[in-house]
Amino acid sequence: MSMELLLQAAVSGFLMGGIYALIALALALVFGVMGVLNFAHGDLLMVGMYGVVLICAATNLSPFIAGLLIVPAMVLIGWVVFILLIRPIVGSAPLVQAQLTIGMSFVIQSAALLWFGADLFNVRSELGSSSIRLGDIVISAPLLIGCLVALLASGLLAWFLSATIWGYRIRATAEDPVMAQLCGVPVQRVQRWVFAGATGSLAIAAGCLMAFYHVTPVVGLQFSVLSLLIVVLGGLGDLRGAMVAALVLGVAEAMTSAIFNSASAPAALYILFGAALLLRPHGLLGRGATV
Amino acid sequence: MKLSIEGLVSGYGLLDVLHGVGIEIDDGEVVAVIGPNGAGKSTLLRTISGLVTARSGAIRYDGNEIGGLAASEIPRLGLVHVPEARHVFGRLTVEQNLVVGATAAPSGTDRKKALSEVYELFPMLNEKARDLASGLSGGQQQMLAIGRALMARPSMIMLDEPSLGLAPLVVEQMYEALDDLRRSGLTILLVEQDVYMALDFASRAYVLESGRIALAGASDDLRDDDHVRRSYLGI
Repeated sequence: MSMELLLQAAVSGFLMGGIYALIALALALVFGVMGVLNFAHGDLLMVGMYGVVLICAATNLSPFIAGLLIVPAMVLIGWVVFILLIRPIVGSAPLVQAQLTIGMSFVIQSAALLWFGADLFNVRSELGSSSIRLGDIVISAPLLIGCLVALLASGLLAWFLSATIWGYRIRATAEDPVMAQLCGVPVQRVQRWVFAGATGSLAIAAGCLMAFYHVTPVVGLQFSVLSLLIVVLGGLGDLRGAMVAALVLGVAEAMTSAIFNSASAPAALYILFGAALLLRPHGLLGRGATV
Repeated sequence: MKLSIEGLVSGYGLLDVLHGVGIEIDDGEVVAVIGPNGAGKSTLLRTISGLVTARSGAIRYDGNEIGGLAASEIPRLGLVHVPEARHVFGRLTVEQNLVVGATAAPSGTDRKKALSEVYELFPMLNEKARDLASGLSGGQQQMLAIGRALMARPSMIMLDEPSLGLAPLVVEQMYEALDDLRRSGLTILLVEQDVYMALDFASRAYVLESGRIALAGASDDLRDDDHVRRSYLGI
């Protein structure tokens, strides 16, 4: 095992972690604001990835642009899903919420299977497999750009939450929805927009992923599990913790793949997850929810 | 009449807490509700502010029925509830708390002006504007909760146990600020466990016992009432 290979894995894993961060932030925000852990999160991402495939096939645009273009469609999907499925379970028992969102995950998966079949789709982008060499390390260009775009989107989200009036209202709603109502904040409207916005941000993540990744009907489960791990590891509802956890898991995943093989990576993630929770039961930064 | 309540029945689950309560408050008046724990004082305020839905009865504010309105709509009418235990947003800064409080302000309100007025009333909030609200002391959090309510430019506020758990000196400071607000013409409905304080501050009071109004009158008369003296003033 050479040092270069490990370093290479760490860098690629870190870049992948940047994209995981955006996906997990959306999940953490939804959990923080309405208390629903959405097990269909990755499946909504998968819908976005198919959307990017369709746009790219029809227009030859770059997947990043395609991701941006489907943001309105994804916001609309999030809006409808919230009104029909999520709103009735806000405040319900966690088991009810899990049942509903897991059911939703199956339905989306089956719909994708019916529509697109089980074949693997990817996008032929002009970046293709181009890469940048830094000494002995090769950085895939689409991965690098994907990570930068995802980090930019995460940064925008963080800025929105910490520096705008609606950001304050969203954080107030996350912390104390009853008091937020007494301040005149329309809590249900805030929850609806947060869910729609989080789903919309998955379009950006889908664009980043499709620059170098593939989509199948089951890819959603993988991302749901991963982002749940990240959100719990970061400390439920703690956005900064989720950011850190995403980068840590990205690196850990790539390193395990390099040292052992890619099949052992998920197992290693769970071992890391278990160990981290034993040592830091309130999340990596140990602060609990801080949306 | 600023607020008039008739035959209000309200409660949680299978349990009725209020059994036909009626109170009236004039514009610019300061009225207290006193009574033992569990009498339904907080439930009364929570029903007026829409957190609990009334089972029957009328709640009229400025002459309009507000019974069916959502809790987020009522502060927009100028009626703001400062709940028990303050409920500041601990993970927001002091100023961010105040800005969230301005959500219910009428459109076109000058937020900067509202902020500077609150800072004038509570200079401490200005000093701590950038601190997280969770770091404030209990008294400071109570001032923040009142300041946040004022950001909505209310014409009436309802205070639930504002002095609970605070040091006497802090309570005095807070009531000085409330006195300024009273003199500016704000209508105040006060629920207070400190009956001396409540009767000193309010011109009239209602005694709420087991979900019914047991007694009502001018504060001076109530202070001399045998039942009030025995049950609440410990004389």
